[in-house]
Amino acid sequence: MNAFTDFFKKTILARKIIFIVEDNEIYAKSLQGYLTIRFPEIDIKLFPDGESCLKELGENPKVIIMDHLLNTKNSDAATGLSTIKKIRAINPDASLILLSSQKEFEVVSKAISKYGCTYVQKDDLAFQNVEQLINVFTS
Amino acid sequence: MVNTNSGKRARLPKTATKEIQEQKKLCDMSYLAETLSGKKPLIKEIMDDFLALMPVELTMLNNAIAISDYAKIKSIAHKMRSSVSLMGIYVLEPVLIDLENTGTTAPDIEKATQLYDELDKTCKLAFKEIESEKQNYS
Repeated sequence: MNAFTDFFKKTILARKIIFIVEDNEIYAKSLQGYLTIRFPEIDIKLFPDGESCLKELGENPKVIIMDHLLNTKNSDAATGLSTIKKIRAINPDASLILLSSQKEFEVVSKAISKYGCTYVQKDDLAFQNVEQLINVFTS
Repeated sequence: MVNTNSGKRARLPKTATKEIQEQKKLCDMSYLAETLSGKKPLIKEIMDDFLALMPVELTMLNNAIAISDYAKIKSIAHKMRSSVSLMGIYVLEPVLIDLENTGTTAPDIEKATQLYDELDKTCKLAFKEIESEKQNYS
């Protein structure tokens, strides 16, 4: 039993997970594809909104990549920032990346200062910047 | 900028490559292909998703315009920008930016309607092109 427990701890529990919370499925899948190629040892899960992400926090994701505007499909969906606030209350150690084209200074500065997020602008280098951060957060 | 393990750094081009322009194509798949390291099944999956999801978003946008829901128009147009950029349909970037901005300064539903018509027309042509291009990724 000890050998099994050790194996379980080293493999199953040690397997890293990343969440991507993004309501644009095309963008989400492209980012997932990009990261899967570069981090084949990491499971990458997609969520269309903050609510569905919060339900799965028990999986203890190492990194959560969050879009800010998540209400295209569901106008009642919480914003990325409000979801981050709830994540911090449950999982203070998760590395959080706010990935958004949001240019409002107030949103960005709050995400960084109050919730310890790293902000990545959703521009033409976003995928590479996220990759670099994951290298840091998972090392 | 930072170095990455991938070595190559694909950037979203602002305009189509010269080759694409000469061929008078709407879609430049080179960024997506480079981003996904040429993995055909993944690229094809994204193309399929785009073909399935964009008509739905166009309908949502059309409905938002019909009821003059400027917040919804802005939200949907904003999201669409990421999708069309990934598929290299650069001609739609200024159209979507304009759509985002209708209602921001002065509400102009007539302008939104005209922009939607242009968006819809271009998307239909892009869909045909992508359907044809998919064969290269089977």
